[in-house]
Amino acid sequence: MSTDIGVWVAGLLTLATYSYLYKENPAYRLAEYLVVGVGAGYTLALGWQNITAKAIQPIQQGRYLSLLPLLLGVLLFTKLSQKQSWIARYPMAIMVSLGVAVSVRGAVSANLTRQIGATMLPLTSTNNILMVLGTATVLGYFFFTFPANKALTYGSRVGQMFLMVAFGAMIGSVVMLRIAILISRITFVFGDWWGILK
Amino acid sequence: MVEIDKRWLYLVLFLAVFVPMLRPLGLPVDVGKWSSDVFKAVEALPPGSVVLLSTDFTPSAEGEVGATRDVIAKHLVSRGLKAVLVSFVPQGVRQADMVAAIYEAAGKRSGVDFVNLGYVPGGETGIAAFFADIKKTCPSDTKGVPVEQIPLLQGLDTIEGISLIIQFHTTVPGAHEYVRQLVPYGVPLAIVISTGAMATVTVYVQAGQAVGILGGLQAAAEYEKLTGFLGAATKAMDSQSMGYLVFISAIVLGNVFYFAGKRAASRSGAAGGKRI
Repeated sequence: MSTDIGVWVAGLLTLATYSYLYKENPAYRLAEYLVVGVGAGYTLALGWQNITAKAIQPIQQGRYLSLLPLLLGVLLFTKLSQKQSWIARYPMAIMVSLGVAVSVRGAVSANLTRQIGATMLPLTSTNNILMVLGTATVLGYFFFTFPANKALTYGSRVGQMFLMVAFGAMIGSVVMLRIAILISRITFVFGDWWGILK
Repeated sequence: MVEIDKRWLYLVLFLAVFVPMLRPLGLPVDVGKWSSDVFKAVEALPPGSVVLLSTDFTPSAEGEVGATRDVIAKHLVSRGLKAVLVSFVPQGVRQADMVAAIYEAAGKRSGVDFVNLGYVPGGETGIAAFFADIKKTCPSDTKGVPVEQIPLLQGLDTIEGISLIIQFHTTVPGAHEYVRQLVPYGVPLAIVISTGAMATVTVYVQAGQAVGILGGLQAAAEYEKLTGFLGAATKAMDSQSMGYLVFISAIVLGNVFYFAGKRAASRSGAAGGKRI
């Protein structure tokens, strides 16, 4: 059995979390609150570290341009005042517009033209046929411009089936994720903590 | 309708996962194309090349991609590749530390063979800034050493100096943001991802925007097999397979009981005459 206090804390919290499977209890709630609290504390500490390294230290070294982002950040806190909250709209507008501009720059190529190109495949293999058929019929399913004729109705039904298969695959993936987490926790409790698994 | 307390299902699932850990079944691990492609991309790099490991994942994804992180780090070390570590999510810094620990355990030196640049805030904007100017975005490493004094970063100004990016995607920002921001640079990208989000990034491989994907624990086991560094993922494969078996059995049995119950109900309804 481990003598590391960190392993003991993590192990006990793991058991407290899984105790929810039996029924809701105070140990589970403690673990839940700790996750939220520790996560928030960690992010706060890291945020402060960042402000120090990327704004305060450069200002101390005479790079006064760093005052600008610092000031915009401080202005966000005016949201806390009902009277002055309008001021926060300026840094917010700058953040949103910058974010959108940066995303859009690559989005057209990365998410649109390259993806359209990737579905223009020669119908020479089963995979390619399924890819083209699936893309076309799923797009048909979401085609609402005019009332569906017979071809579009049948096409969208096929598209619906492709969607169901895709959703099934996604749910299957989530099951895989949950089992992987369970394996990791069992390995930790029985291996790293209790030393039963080698 | 048969009603079963779901806690029995939890118990069966626990046993299905736990027993193979005590008595391994030795089920085979087949290597998929995408894992093989990532492996080949790493193998193709000449020793001394710089790989960017972007550990953008939180501890909640440790069970799925933690093993991949370890085996990739061991592979990079064994190939003599240098690593720049960075994270665009706050909790990812700790994951980068774990990669650094593997480098250090192999006798590699911080600043020469690897460097941990820590957390870069700003999401996608932060990624764009990092790609355009690495040193300006990260003035120092996690030990506080200014980037000007880090030998590994000399001559490495933009992302174009990186030979391969391995991005761990489990949250935002992740692979989608990387793919968008890599458009002007064209640096090869490999994605490590939890299986839950895998369906959202497979399109990037088909479109040639990523060299391959390592999805979940299964891919970690495949990578361990390819590299020969057998570890936690390989050990977990039997448990994973048995866990799936429980789920599949539960789905099949649930449907059998559901339709049997429905049939019995309709029969008893017919026997009892017409219902109003």
